[in-house]
Amino acid sequence: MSLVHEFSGADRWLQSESVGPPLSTPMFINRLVIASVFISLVWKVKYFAMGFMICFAHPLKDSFFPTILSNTFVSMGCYFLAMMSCIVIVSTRQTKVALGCAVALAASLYILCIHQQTYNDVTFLTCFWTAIWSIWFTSRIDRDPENALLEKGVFLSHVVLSVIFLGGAVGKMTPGYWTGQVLYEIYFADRDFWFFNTLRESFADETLHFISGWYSRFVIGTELACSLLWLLPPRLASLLALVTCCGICIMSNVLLFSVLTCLIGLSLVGLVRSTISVAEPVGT
Amino acid sequence: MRLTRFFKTITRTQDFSAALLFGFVLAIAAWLVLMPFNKQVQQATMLRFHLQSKSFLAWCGLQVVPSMYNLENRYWLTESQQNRDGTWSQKKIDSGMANHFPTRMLTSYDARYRFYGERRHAEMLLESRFQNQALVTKWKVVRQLDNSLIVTQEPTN
Repeated sequence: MSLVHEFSGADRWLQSESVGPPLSTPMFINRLVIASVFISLVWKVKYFAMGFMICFAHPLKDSFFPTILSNTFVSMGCYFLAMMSCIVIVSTRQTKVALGCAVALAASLYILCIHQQTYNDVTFLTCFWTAIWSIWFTSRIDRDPENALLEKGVFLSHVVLSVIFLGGAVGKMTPGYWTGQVLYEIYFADRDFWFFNTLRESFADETLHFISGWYSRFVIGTELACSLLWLLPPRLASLLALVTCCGICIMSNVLLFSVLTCLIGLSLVGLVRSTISVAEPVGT
Repeated sequence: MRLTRFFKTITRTQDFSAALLFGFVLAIAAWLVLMPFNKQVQQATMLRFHLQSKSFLAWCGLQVVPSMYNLENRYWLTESQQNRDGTWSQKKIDSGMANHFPTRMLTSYDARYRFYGERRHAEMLLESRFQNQALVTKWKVVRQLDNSLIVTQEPTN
C-alpha cells in the first residue's frame, strides 16, 4: 500500500516537472540567476579539476585552518554540491525544493570561501552573495504578489552588486593602485592577453606606465560609480552593471567570467523586470 | 526614492527577510566605507589577507566581505640551499604582485604545483600595504617525503 503511495507521489512529482502552466516571472528570474551561478562555477572547471588533483598530490598542513577545512574531499564535495544544487534549482518548479537547494548552494559556497584550497578564489564569494539573494527571493515567491516581489528583487540585486563593487573600490584607495603600479605588474608587464599584448606592441615601457595609471584610476572610478547602483534608476543600474562586468572580463582577463557571470545574472534581474510587464492581480 | 519605495513595499508585504538581507549588506558596506579612514579596519583586512586574524572564527566572518584586487600585495619566494660547508644560503626563485590574499602564493593549486613540487625547502616573504599601513609575514615551506607540504610562520626581523 505504501509502495503504491510512493509511486503515485513520484508520478505526481514527475508530472509537475514536465508539464504544467508556464513558469511565473519570478521563477524564471530565479532560474536565470542560478544558471549564471552555474556558468560561474563551470567556467574554470578544468582549472578546479586539476587543482583538486594537485591538492591530492601535495596536501598542505598549516596551523591556521582546521583539518576538515584543509581536506580535498571537502572542497571537491562542496564544489559538486554547489553545481548539483544549481542544476536542481533550474529544473524544478517546486519552490520548496528550489529554496532548499539555494540554502545548500549558499552553504557549500561559504565553506569554499573558508577552505584552505579555495578561500582566495573570489568566484565562490560572488556566487555566495548571489545565492544569498536567491534564498531570499525564492522564500518570497509563494508569499508576495509578483510586482512587489520583483520590485524588491531588483532593488536588492542592485544593493548586493553595489556592495561587491564597493569592496573592490575601497581596497584600491592606496598609492600602488592610484599610480597604476599594481596593475602594471599584474597585467601590463607580461600578461598574455590580447589587450595587454597590443599595448606592449604599440607603446614603450614608460608610456605603458602612464596608461596603467589611468587604467587603474578608471577601474577605481568605475567601481565607485557602480557602488551607487542602488541609487540609480533600475534599468540604468542594470545596464551599467552588465556593461561593467563584461568590460572587466573583455579588457583584462576572460577567466574573470568565473567571478563575474553570477553578477551578470544579478544585473539581468532589473533588465528582465523592465522588459516583461507584470500585471498585478486584483486585490493584492 | 528607490529606498523609500523599498521600505514601503517590505512593510506592506511584511517581508522581514528582505530587511534582514538589506541590514546585512548595510553592515558590510559600513565596514567597507570605514576602510580608507580607519586603521583598525585596515589592519583587520591585512591580517585577514595574511591568515593572521585574531581567531579563525573572526577570519570566517570577514570572508564574506568583498575584496577583489585589494591592497598592494607583494611576495618574494626564495629557496634554501645547503652549501658544501654545511651552511644554508638563499636563492631567489620568484617575486611579484598578488591581486588579493598574498598567502595564495603558499596555499593555492598554482603555488603548490609551480613552486613547491620540486623543492624541499622554500621561504616566502609576504607584504601587504594600504596607505600608511603595512604588514610583513615570513613563511617556511618544507616538502615531506610523501610530497605533503608543511607551512609554518617564521618570525620577521
